[in-house]
Amino acid sequence: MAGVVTDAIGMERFPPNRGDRKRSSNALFQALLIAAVAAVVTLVYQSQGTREVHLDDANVYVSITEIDEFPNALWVDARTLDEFETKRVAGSILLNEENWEGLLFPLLEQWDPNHPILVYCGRSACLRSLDVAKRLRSELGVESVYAIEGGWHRIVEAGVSLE
Amino acid sequence: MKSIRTWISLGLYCAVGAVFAYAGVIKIADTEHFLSSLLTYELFPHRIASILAIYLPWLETLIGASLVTGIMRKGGALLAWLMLIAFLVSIGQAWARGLSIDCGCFGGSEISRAASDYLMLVGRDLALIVGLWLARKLES
Repeated sequence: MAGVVTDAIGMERFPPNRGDRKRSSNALFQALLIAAVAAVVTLVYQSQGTREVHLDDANVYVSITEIDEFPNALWVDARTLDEFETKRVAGSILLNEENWEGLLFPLLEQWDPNHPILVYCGRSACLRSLDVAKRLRSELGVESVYAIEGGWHRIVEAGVSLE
Repeated sequence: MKSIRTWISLGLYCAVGAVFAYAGVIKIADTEHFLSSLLTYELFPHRIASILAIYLPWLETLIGASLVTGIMRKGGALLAWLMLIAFLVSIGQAWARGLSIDCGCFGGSEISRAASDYLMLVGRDLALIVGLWLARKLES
């Protein structure tokens, strides 16, 4: 019988229906097309300058495994005052956007411009450290300000000295 | 004349499509929050999460539009399936690792910690998957 294939144990196996195959490849083609259109729309939207998420922000982050490269860093805690007072990295200074003006001066008193600044925040998903690091970079005019990727629990896991 | 099966199929496509489109538009309006939510899954570094945070909402919106309008519906349905399975895997790994995640599904904060929260998310995704499967089944 035309179109019938026999397999190794002699069972008749029908090849996939041509219509089914066409439908599948059609769906795949459409899916790729939708994904491509979404990519183009995303790029156009990003180029408008109204975006909230900047891909360059990733350059502000450092992994907790890289902190050995910053032995003299000044630690900045971007969490809330309550969290800071409960537990913090030893020697860290509180700085957050809730009280920027009031907290910046004590930081400047301790900061040596030749030493980098490492900023951390609470949850792995908190963007406070990123915002503080970017603002410090802009206001201090230095590039050596970094946000710790992963937040507070990464710091605890890494065994950084706390107080 | 369209049969009742076709109408039910159409209704299901529209319902799932509306959910996708709504979820997408909400995220486009607050991409930063969606990025923050994505980071709670602890699956990607910041750069990859940023790319996903700006791309996925548009993809979701287009999938929703495709399912509702019927334009390239087969492709939209395929992508919706793939996305829902990816969501299930992401939620499952977070649950297995005992993470506290912010779903980020429909904007706002929806923190999942307890098993019941996770079951709710999984149930919602499964309902959408079943909806799509049923719509496809009734259509053919």
